[in-house]
Amino acid sequence: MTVTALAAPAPQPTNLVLRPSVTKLSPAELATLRSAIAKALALADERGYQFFANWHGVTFGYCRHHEDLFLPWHRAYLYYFELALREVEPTLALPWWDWTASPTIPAAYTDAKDPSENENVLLKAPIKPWGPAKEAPPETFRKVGKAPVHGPPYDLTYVMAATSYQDFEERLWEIHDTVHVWVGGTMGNPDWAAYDPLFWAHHTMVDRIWRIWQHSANGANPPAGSLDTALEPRGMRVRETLEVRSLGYDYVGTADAVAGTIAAPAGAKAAG
Amino acid sequence: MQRYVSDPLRLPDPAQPPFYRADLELVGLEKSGPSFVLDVFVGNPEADARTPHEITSGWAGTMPVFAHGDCWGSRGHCDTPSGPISAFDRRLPHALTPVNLAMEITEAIRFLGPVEEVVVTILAQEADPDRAEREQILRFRTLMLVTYD
Repeated sequence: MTVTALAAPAPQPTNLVLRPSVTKLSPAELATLRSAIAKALALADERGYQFFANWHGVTFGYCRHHEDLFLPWHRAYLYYFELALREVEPTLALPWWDWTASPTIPAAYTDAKDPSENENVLLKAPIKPWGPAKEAPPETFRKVGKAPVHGPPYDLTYVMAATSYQDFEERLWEIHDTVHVWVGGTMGNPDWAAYDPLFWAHHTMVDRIWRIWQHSANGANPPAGSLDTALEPRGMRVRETLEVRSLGYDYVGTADAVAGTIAAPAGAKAAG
Repeated sequence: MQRYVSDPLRLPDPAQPPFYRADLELVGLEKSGPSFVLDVFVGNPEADARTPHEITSGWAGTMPVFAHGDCWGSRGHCDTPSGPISAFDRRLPHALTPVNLAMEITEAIRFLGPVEEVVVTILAQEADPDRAEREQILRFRTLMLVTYD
């Protein structure tokens, strides 16, 4: 057999992405986040922001709420979105909005301008459904605090005290729902919520709380019957979502923020 | 039409037991852009569009490549992908990841008789005859001649 030797493939990075709190981002990290969102917004194909926003509600409606797949589906969703952002900004890590710590939306998401006096891409985003859809708002908007629900900060003591997956998920999704409704506007409507840049920080927080609870004394797996369920649209199975480090990421400084959790991973520090 | 002529590729020593099969393998063949057709000739470095598709002309076969089509995405959408961005990247390989394609050319090689080397000529053309031709239809990383004994 005559064979021509081929060059070995380049090794892939194996370092974890460490997701930070949005309020702890350095100016450079915040600029990276804005740059990633801006670059993703400029891509009108399956690499772009609108494509991923379309997964959730309009157009494709893949999201799972108020059922066992709520947390796994959104974990996979964030995973693929973060990978897409890292394609355009390799040091990007999705930040979380800690709605247990403050009564307001972080300024990074409410300022009209960024430090360079450009439009703040985290304030709002265009809404561009991919397929035939009911009339879409042209862009995201919020009606903060107008709904008859109580606003942040939210107390997670009851959530973290859950000793079964179903109890935990139900308690957490109630707060998750409250946040959506409290922010209001397009964030309050599953059809359009994922178009709002704030959505990703909100769900990163939800995912973080799940991760902390999983590693707490109360942590438990989803029902065994759901573990081999393939999550739309890319088919990641529920069991593949259970360990965030196997997905290449973890959270910075999470353990101190929520009662009843284990210590933060040794050596954890901000990504980037 | 794009024309490619290889360096001489070594064949097994004619004194050794004969091979029973010979494959031409295009390694890392890029398939972005419209479908295309490859005509493969062996032992005929002068082969061109007028060369008959006959074994006496060195014609080894025709390989159509059902490729990707025109790019409908934003800038960079159909650039050759660089692969996973980390060891944790579980996404399926990019649809345009270069592929390896093989074509059996046993008869054409045998027809050349007991030779030690062979030159491979590949003519690449658009599958759609009405389409304006690109500058680079055929793009690949390595050409391999594989024989089995």
